[in-house]
Amino acid sequence: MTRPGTRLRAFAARVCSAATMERLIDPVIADLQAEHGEAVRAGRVWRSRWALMVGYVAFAKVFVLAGLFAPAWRNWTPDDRQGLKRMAWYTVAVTISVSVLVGLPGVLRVPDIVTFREINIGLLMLYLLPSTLALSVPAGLAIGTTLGISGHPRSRRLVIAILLIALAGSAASFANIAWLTPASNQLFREEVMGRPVEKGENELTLTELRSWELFSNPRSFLFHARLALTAAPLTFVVFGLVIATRRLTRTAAVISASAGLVCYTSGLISGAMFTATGVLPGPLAAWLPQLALIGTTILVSVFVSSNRVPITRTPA
Amino acid sequence: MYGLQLVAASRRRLKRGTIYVTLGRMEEKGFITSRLEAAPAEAGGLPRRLYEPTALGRRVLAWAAAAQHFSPRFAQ
Repeated sequence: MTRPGTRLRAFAARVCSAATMERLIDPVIADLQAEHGEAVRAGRVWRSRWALMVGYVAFAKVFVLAGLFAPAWRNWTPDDRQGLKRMAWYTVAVTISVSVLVGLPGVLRVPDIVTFREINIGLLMLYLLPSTLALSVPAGLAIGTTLGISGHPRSRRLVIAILLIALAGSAASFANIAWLTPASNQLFREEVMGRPVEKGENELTLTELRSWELFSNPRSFLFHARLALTAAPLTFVVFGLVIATRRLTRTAAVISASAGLVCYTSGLISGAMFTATGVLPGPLAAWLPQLALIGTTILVSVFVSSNRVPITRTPA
Repeated sequence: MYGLQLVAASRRRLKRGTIYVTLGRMEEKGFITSRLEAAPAEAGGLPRRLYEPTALGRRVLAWAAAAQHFSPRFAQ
């Protein structure tokens, strides 16, 4: 039986520098093991569980505050730093471009439709931003990852850092889709109409959608589609990582990643239609594009040869 | 003292998550030193790090205590 904290230490050792491990991670793990061991030897079961919980929280704080950032960053190789910067810049550029492409045409049409009052286009674009981010962030991460690391050396540390960014993106996406987007959609509608308006389906929070009185097949599709979109940053980044590590030119890699995005979006739109016509149950139609993307990722990683760009070992 | 002992002695004003970052910086500045102490045989586990002040650290502490006495603002 392994001691508590052993696996956490092994995980941290893959990402953190040796100095960070020695000065920050090991002391926290040692405290956790000492406190837990003391409680177990004294026969205090609840005290040992409390020691574990408090120790894990302390580890998380140390890992996030100091284990991942400044001290480890100083020890990253130049290739890794450049790779992460490239990925970040491309992600931001694609996210902004997709947000503008998705949101602006609709907003620009509003003054033609609403002629009875003056419309603030800037404010409308701001209100529409959260809903465009639901798709533009996964798109940015996928293409940013592909462009950022395709054809360049990469280390396990860089790949783990990119995956952690994707996890953070999914968490932020959840908060955006669950609460921010419904609220901003409602503000958008009220700004267009110039008065309070009753909430439509797209203005309901996840909890409101889930409540059984409102539940129907189309609404179950909407609920599950939103959940699927929160997982999209992670699945898109993994897809982008696999594409970037295949024997493809950069152009081919970007086209492949973009094609994946287009298919995913088309799948969601088709899923809405199939749900409305009763062809597919809502949850299946909502998750099918996600499952298809995961399946495609697995097939590409198995059947398309990987490129020979070296995976560098993380320096100690 | 071990880091956890310092947290307990400060009556939780020092936090477990940040104590080692602070101790690391103090060690870089030369205010404290540390050494690894092997865990007792029956306990096992990772060796724990023991911290103690250097002569410079004691002088800085004495100076800070004196400054706190003279300037209430410094105490904040």
